Amino acid sequence: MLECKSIDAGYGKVQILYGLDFTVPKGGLSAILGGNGTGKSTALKTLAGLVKPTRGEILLDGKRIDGKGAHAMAAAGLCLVPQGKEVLGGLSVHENITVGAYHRRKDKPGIAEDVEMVYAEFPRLKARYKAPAGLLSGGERQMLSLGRALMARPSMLLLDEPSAALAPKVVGEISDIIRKLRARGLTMLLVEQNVSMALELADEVHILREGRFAYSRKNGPDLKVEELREFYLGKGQS
Amino acid sequence: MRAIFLILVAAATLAIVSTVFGGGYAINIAIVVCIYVILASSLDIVMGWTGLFSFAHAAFLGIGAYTAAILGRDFGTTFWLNLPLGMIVAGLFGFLLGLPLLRAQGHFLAIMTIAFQTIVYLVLSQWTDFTGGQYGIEVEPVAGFTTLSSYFYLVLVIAVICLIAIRFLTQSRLGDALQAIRDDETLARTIGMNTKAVKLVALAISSAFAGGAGVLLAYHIRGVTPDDYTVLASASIVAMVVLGGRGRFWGPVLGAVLLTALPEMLSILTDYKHIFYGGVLILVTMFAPQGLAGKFSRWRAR
Repeated sequence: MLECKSIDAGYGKVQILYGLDFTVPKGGLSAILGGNGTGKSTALKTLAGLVKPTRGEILLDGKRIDGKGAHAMAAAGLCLVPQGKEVLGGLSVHENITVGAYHRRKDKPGIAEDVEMVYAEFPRLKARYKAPAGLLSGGERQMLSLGRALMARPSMLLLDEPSAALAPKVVGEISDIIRKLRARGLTMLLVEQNVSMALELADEVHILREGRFAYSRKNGPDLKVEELREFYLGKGQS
Repeated sequence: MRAIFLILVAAATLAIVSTVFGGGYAINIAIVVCIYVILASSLDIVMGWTGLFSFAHAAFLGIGAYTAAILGRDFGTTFWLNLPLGMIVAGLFGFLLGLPLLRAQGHFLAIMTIAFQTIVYLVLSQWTDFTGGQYGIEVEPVAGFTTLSSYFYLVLVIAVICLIAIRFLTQSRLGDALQAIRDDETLARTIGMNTKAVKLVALAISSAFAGGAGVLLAYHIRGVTPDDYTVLASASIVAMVVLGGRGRFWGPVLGAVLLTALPEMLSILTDYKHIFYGGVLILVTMFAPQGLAGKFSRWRAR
């Protein structure tokens, strides 16, 4: 479970986020939507520990994780899945996967088991395990990022625009994988521009505008796409 | 394992070629080659594997050399104590430099290393009471290894040990972390690597090896003078790594052998050594940005 309590964050004197308040329940999947420049990336970086919040608390399964620094997050159980293009291009596919278990150095049998699990989940990665990760296609890189994150045995995943720059068919494949992971009990936060993907997957949707949540609703039959679109595009009033 | 076997074969070849076919002059070059192989390989830990361009490697070489010379002069310590102490002192300076250095990135980091290199040179040349200024300090040869060829074998054995250590280091978990930092530092942090600590350790280890090479050099030329530890010397070590191929085990070894031995063999080049290095650097970055080792592995891949 992830709890964010009135988070402010920014860079130096520039404040980007104003009082973000939300909870992702255990096993739940929430989505944060927003166009360019609304604070999506800053929100994600703050949760991942790359930006330190100036106010508020972030709790993962009841324990405070804000201010601990990005490198402590993986061990705490929170894993960022960066946008598909971000892989370690100089390392092989296999090395990219195993490096995800970096903080679990002692657990050799567990790591071997998880590598098998990742390959079973992503057969396309197994076929190319020796190739430099820099040579993978966009979809394969996104799968590699997911596989690497799973190696940390996280309790929660932060997904940074998994649909970005992918062909619609590949977006479908990635959505299927996210559904599968969810069925295994992983808590997830999806940060997206792709509204239809978010609505397909998430239980709750937040729209970020000028660093604040302009709109937060449970996903369901009574969520009106038109209304959501208006908030997304900036016409609606909360 | 294959790499270690190859290191031993290369060392044996160098030993046989220089003692059987060459006289004192060839052995002399062989010693310098060994020292520069250690230098280039250790610089590659930070430059090739971690992606931090450092023009301060000769400063650490000098710190190691002067540590040995000053300890020998003031306390009469022997080579066997001075070698580890030279490595420790140089490693410590590497660590201390890293504290401010690693706040910067890219070109700014490179410029800061040049500043550090310059400061070290100025201290070595100006602090006359402590370092002997431009006259430097004399160093007594290593007891038991006073002849040129016996010292050569000593240096060769130490160089082989250093190379094997560097090989193990780059193949280890730390090596993975270094490459991850080079490819994408933010990503490395989110994977759970304390990237700042890892970079500090890399810089300290790399500097310690350079310090060790400095001790070997001081005992080889039987003295230290500041002009051996200038930014030009640093640039030549960078040239060796770039020519040979960054981030590949054999790259810096190859670069060091070529750039040390070639100017000696083509004696015309000796006077224009730095022009030669500069030309090599430009040509390599234009035609083989991955260095000779990179070119070679691409040929093999075809």
